[in-house]
Amino acid sequence: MNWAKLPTQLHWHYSRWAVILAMLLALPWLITILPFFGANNYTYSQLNLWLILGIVCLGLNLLTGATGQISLGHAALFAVGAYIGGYFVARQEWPSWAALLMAALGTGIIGLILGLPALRLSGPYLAVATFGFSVAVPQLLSRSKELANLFSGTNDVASRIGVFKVAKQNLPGFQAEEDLGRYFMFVLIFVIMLLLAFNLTKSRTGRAFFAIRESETAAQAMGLSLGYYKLLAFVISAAFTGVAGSMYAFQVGQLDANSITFSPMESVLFLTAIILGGLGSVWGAVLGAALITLLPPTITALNDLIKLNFGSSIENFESIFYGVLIISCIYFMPFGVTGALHRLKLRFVYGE
Amino acid sequence: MSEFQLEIEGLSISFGGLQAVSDFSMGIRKGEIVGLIGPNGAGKTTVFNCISRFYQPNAGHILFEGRELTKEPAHKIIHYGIARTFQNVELFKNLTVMDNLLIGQHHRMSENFLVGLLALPPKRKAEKRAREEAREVLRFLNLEQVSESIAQSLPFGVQKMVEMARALVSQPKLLLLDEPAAGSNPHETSKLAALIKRIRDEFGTSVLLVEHDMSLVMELCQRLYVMDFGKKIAEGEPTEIQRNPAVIEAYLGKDN
Repeated sequence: MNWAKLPTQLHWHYSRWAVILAMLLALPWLITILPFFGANNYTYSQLNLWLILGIVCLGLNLLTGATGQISLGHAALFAVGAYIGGYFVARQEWPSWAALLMAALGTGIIGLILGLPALRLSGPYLAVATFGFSVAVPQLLSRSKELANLFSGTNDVASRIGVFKVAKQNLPGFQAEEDLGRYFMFVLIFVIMLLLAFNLTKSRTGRAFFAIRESETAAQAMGLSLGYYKLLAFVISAAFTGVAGSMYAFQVGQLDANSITFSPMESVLFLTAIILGGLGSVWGAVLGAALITLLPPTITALNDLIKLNFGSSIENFESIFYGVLIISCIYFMPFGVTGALHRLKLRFVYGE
Repeated sequence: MSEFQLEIEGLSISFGGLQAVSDFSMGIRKGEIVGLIGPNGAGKTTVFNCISRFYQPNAGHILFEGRELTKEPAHKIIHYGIARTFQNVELFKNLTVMDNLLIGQHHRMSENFLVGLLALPPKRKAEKRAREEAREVLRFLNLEQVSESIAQSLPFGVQKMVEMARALVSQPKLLLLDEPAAGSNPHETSKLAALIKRIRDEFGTSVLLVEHDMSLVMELCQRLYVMDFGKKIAEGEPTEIQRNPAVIEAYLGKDN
């Protein structure tokens, strides 16, 4: 695969961070320009889901984009993060920031286990091994009596049908249901995670990740322990995903291990997002997440259109759509949207 | 303590039924430029790969400054002061030349991932120093103008020099060069010989090179080891080697 022209390191000044922050803060109002998005809770919840998915993508990108290790286990990590975050706010009544840190830590440790196969496997074999994790974790969460007891309250009706009730979390001064308040809370977390991801890719550790993607032989000759850095990439990636998972728990307020959000297919969705956005690029992850958040309503609308014109809708249309999307993206824009934009810029600005 | 900085004793390795290297011994003194030559498939690169720990020998010892290397993992070798280049150029192709050289200093930098994540002051200081050192090496090799180029966009000859720069920036005590002159014309080869001598003099590194180009080897090396079919068939100064009947036979075949 040709990775040339792929922006691996962007140099940003602090002033630009202020601009980014300002834009993120203004987004709930800016987005109402678009059709479908009014100044209501639905719009804000979509924005929140975008930020959550964005952090997953930042994490997955550090692993798959930077280090070149494919993971289809991130839906499981997302679930782990959600359950840990949920556990600490609902059962231990910790403040949300502390629960979030515990989710990062706990999911990071689980990520170490997920990363163990990477010491022996790579490419599609690693993808299959990690996919198994995606299948196993929701089963474990929904069937284990011990875990159910751990998460359910004493007189909790919901837990009897496998749903874990979590108190929705919000900024102080906002009602639990107000998604706009939660948006500001999430923007804060998002910007911190974005900064961390940027710092990491520009550090000694980030360079080690890229080196392993580029040539394991040369990386070893340069003194990098492959095992250490592959596992570290899994741990950091998992910690990011754990943060996103617990944000999800704070957002929706109830967790069901059997829901589509924690299903193995969600792992494929995460991977689609970073491929679509641009592998190895921090902005690609953010953009990919935005596209994936906007896609499901679009796909449903498309399928409705098909039903209207041809009499019946297509079964599994969403899966087919993502499959076609990944294939055509790899074929036509191997570096995702950010890569394509970068090439356009090279062509028109520098005339290359 | 032996007179040699790097000492190989009775090295043997086989792949399946093929005995790639058998009972091979050699030594390099500090500051020496030594050549390892022989026809294709003689086992020269295999010896290199044993030193840099990509292959595990079946028998024998590799001692570097008295330390047994055969028990060490591949990524430790550069810590002890041995850096190498590769026959087919193993750069980090889609990264810039500067990034390649920064990765070359990885083992000399110590800040961990938390310092990197949080961009703490030690990181910025270490980064600045590393970039400065990389620039110095690039200047030494006349590569300053390509420092921000993507490695794979450069011509093959330049890529080989970048690989040399990446090895040098690790501040090695011993430099292993695998066919540095491959693909160069005679003019470039003689420039390369001068450069390798300058590297030895200015950086104080010993050099072991595997090479096919006889003119380079004869001009550059103080001593030579000759291999054929995995065995050492001769050792000595270049002028002796040139007259050695076993060497002539290995290269040109037997006169019937």
